[in-house]
Amino acid sequence: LKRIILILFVFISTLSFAQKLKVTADKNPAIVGEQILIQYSIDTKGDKFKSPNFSGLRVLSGPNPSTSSSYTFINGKSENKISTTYSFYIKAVKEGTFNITPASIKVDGKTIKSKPYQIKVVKGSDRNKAQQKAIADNLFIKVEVSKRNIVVGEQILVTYKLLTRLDLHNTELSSLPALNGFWAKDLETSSRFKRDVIDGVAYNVATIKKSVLTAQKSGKLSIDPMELKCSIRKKSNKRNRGFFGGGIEIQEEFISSKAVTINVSELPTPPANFKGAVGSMKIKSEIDNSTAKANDAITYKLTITGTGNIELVEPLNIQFPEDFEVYDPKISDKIFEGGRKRSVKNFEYLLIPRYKGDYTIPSSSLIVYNPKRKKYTTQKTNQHNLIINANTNIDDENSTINQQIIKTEKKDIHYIFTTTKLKEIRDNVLNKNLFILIFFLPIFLIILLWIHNTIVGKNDINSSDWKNKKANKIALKRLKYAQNCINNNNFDSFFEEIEKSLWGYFADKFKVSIADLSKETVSTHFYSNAIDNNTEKQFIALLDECEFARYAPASNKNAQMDDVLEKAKKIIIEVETSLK
Amino acid sequence: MKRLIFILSLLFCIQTFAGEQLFLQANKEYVNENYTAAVSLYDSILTKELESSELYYNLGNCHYKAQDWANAIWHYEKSLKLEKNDKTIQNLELANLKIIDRIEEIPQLFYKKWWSSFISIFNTFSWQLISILIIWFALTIKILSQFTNYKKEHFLSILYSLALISVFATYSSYQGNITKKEAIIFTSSVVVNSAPTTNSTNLFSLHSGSKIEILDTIGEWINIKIANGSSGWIKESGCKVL
Repeated sequence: LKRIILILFVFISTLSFAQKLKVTADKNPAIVGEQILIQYSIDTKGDKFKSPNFSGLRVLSGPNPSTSSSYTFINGKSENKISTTYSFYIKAVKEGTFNITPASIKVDGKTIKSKPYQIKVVKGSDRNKAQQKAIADNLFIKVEVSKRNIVVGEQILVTYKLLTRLDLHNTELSSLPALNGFWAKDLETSSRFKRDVIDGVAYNVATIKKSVLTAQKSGKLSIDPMELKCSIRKKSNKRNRGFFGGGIEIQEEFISSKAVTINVSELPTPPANFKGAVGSMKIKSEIDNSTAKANDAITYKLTITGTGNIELVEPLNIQFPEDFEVYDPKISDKIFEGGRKRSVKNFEYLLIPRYKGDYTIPSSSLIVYNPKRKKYTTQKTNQHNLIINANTNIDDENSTINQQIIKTEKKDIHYIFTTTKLKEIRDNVLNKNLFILIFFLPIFLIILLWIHNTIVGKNDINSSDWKNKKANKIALKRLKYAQNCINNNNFDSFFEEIEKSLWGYFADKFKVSIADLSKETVSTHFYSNAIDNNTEKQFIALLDECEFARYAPASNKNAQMDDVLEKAKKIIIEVETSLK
Repeated sequence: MKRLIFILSLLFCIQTFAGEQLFLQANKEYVNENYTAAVSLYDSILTKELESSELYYNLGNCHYKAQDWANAIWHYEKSLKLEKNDKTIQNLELANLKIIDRIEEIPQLFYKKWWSSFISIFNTFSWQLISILIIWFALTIKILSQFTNYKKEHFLSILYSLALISVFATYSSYQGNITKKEAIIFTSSVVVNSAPTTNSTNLFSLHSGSKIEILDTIGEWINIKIANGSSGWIKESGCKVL
């Protein structure tokens, strides 16, 4: 049984061993400033490697994956081995114990984790330190900055130099400096080593990088360090001298430059049309032809010469005449050392005048800030006068017929008022309550009057004078049609109209339905309303007369008609006045 | 008493004359493109407690030329409050194109548009006078007809309806010009909150030059509404009341 357990145990352990992510370090404990190679390896193929977290340690490079496979054939047994390794180069920056969190890898869909790893970093012995120092003293990057206090838009030259007294085998840029807030332009450098003596010590000096930086914003801008991976050739201490007297060892060393801070100050309050040109520049304008024919091209050339951020100067705002067709400028430049040496920038405008006439291209200006004199200067171009003649090649008539529609493309505010009438500042309105009082008082009075009229005022209206007037009006209204008949000499319908009007009046006045109209109802209603007996008789007599006249007309028609109308009027007035 | 009134009115005349001289002086500065000098001269007229729609208009132009859009808009709006003028309206439109916020106005119903353009024919004071005159005229006619037996019922009813229309117009005009408080945002960016507390939800943000209507005030917070109908709370210090 014991044997079985043993076999099982061995079996399990080998199985698990095959699935392990191993961590190894080339030195542990390490010395401050030393490089450590940490490798994660597994004996199968794996993918999706997740890097551990090297807190407190600096990762120089990695993860660098590599796979190896070996095929062995021993005693007739073949074996295929594959292993995957991820390696990191770590630099111990300070002493202490550092925990590296587990890394993980996926094998056949399963995630395998390594064990956490601990690295001890100890202070180096004096000899070690001396060795470190010897390297630091003999191999370093020097950053030279032409100026440390600049204004926005000013340019500085930054040079990175590698100084060494060691035998360098190879150098490789491992990280480029980040240049936040700068516009950088690299200059050509020769990386050949030259001999230079600094403080009485001879160094091999190579210019690695040279760039012109233009500050784009104000504040403390830092130029981050540049890091270089150097391989140093060293004579080996080991005694395994080979046949060729070799014994040469290659040591890799990472060196970095110091970070440089540049103070960039804001420009003094710039004038309105300042576009950011800094340096010392001159501007010139040329025109190839001052007399031309319509529709012939003219070239207007604007040249900016000088030093500074000339490359960043934008085309000027030139007010070309409205009748000119203007194309976008052709921009060409010759920049030397990023503008630190006299450079030239050209803007070439192609103009096509469309109509004949005299035109001027006004002078345009470029405002430049000179950081040396700390002053703004305005550079102006010349004003050019152009005489455009009619083009005889093209039908002149045609071009005159080709009328232009006046259009305003640009909008601006209207001009100011030239006169005014000033008033005191106050709310020029009536107080709300005052307004309500003044407005609603008459309404109140009107309502009062109305109430007075409806309740008390009826008697007032009954005054005889008023009543007569009213009765007269009613009579006239009633007998309107009859009157019309007289005017038209319409004898036949006149009496009919009179009759109708009288009956209608009676019916309306005493609220009698048309079916009940008869001479009896007339007498009863007249009686009940205490109207004079005489009036009643007249009323009935008139109705009779009308009836009679319709069938037996009188000899003098007009006189009869007038007479009847007059009678009818009188009766209506009498009825109206005697009614209460 | 009469003498006092005379002296006071004389003083006022002198004051306005001095103000108008200043106005002409400021105009000269404007022509010479010294906009800051022109602004200070125009402002000195305002400190004399004198104003006019043209004065605010010219101030708006100065600020426009100096690219101070919020101030330009504020003065154009102020000018329009005193008197409607096409030049002012067009300049205000241009100034409104320069600012960051573009507030889409809710289109009004046609009758509301007609009504508001009808109201803007006269200012509030004129509307008040018109309605008062009409109603008093109606009263006189009514009284006259009472004693002369001379009836004018039709004419009177026309007068009554005119009075009714004009009193409604007065009310709307008063609401629109006197009761309604408006302001222009002056700080470069203001966050509009959902409630008058700093930690309430931020609804949207407004930038300088935008016109707002003030609905309510609680302490240093004001409830605002903008032309597209959204509303919220901002601190009073961020804007200048018209």
